Amino acid sequence: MPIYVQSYRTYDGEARGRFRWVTMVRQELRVLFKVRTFVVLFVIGYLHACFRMLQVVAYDTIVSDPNSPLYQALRQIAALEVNERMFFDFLRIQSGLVFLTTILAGAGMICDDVKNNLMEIYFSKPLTWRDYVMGKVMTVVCVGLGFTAVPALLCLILHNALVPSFATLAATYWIAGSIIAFSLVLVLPCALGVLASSALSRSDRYASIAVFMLLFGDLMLGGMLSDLLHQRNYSIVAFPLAINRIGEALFRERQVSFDISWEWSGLYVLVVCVVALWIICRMVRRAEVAA
Amino acid sequence: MIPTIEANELSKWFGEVVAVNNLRLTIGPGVTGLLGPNGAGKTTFIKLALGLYAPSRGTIRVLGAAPRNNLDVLRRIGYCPEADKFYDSMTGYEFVYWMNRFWGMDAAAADKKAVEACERMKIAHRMDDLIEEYSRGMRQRIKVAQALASDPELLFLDEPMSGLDPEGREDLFALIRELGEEGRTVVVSTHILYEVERVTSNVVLLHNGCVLAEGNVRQIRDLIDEHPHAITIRCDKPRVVAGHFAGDAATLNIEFCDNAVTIRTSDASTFYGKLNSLVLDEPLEVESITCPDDNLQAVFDYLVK
Repeated sequence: MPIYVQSYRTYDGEARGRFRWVTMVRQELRVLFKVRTFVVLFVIGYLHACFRMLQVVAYDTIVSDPNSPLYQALRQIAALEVNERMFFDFLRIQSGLVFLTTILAGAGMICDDVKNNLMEIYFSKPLTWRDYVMGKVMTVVCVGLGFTAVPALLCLILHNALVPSFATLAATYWIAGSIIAFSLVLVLPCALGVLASSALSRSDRYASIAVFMLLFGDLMLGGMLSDLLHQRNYSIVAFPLAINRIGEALFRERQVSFDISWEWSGLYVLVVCVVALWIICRMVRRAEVAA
Repeated sequence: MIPTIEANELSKWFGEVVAVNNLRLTIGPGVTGLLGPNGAGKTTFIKLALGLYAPSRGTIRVLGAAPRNNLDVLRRIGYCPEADKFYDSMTGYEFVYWMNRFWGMDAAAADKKAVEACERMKIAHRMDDLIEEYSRGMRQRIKVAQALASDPELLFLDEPMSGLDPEGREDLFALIRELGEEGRTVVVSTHILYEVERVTSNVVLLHNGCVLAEGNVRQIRDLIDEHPHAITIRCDKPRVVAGHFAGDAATLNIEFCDNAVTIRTSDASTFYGKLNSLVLDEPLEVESITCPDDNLQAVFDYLVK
């Protein structure tokens, strides 16, 4: 029997077998919540959510009650109505915060690990590159969903709790699906894009600048194409507009930004996600091998 | 005994650069010094053993299995890398704790092991300070602590002494020897010969990706018979000693320095026999007999020449 089998003291507990990436998500979130700017953005995001919850409470308790003294005044304000449009607007407004927090959270996530030589330590532990990528992506996705799907679903639950009826449930059940789907459409490409930029960059600043430039370049290209060719459908090249088009379909908007089918926008978003994920995987594999 | 690390015709190249070249090597339990100048292939070998690199040719088996993408093997290995940049916004304790979590421990075990490792590395009093406030030596200690925390059977220490103060070095020397005595396999990579000599006499000499020699330093030294052995005798009559060996065919060179004479001989065993007779026959007061080239530097110099 080898000597080390006879004498060494091994760790006698159980090692985590699956979902090893969950540890990475926890660790990254702990690090993020130590960043003051991130906390400020988080608070701003939830202030907006609180405002929307107040709107839900106001609508469900005052506007739904004809005996309320404010009934006449508030029912004139269409924007106060709790419907799919309210949730769509909420998510669209949150998308700006999602973009900022995603950059704040994700821009340094991979390049800092490479810069700080943490890759070799990570991969000398029982972690695979898939765990690593999954952990990083899920962290940014969780942050993004924390700004979008979570508060929106809370508002929806609140709405159903304040007006508990089968009719309310029947009228709003599909909104839950739309909220989740649109939140993912907002968050996933953003998270993957920022992480891809981080994987390609040497510092978080370069990664952030690259993402901003790519976004503005893309918006300008979309605007130029639609203006020059006098065809508004070319605006789909602008990524935020493509996402918006998917949102319009998910929330059953009657008036759409341009005529082109939402499936094309979906395909565009999918391609961006796949390319970004491919870049992340490739660069992490390279970093793992070169660690 | 099953070797802890077994490399067979192991090669690794990066483009046209051959980092490790046809390595045949076995490393067993105890402390082994992986020695060689910068660029010799030490770190590449360690990363091949950790499975961070896939071999370009040949095989490497660690703890009886191929290490590449083998999480069971990685669970039994600790690694202290050469680089010392970490998340500066973390405390030393947090760093070790999270490394334990990545290893797969639950929160309670990770906490317990992190504290134990910090205590063992004598940084428990500073473990709640931010890493950015640590000196280089402290960073080195926290790095070794994260490698030790999971009680690995096999420990790779890549240039572990760099940045440590003399006291820290002595502590680490003692720790490495202790780990070796516990039956663990400890591979210490360094280009500083003195460091290896303090922890083990079992070395692997690497140069340009090849194994120049492996085994006990003295055994390796004895193998190099074509090179002269230098023997320094410090006594009250160095010229008498020199005169005794001057006519010897095996004597290649004689040097004087204060009350000492250094004689280079191609036949060390005959030399020692004659020296014994001389000391018994002549009224000499011998203070010391040393072999200046019976050390790693000399071995290394001879092998690289």
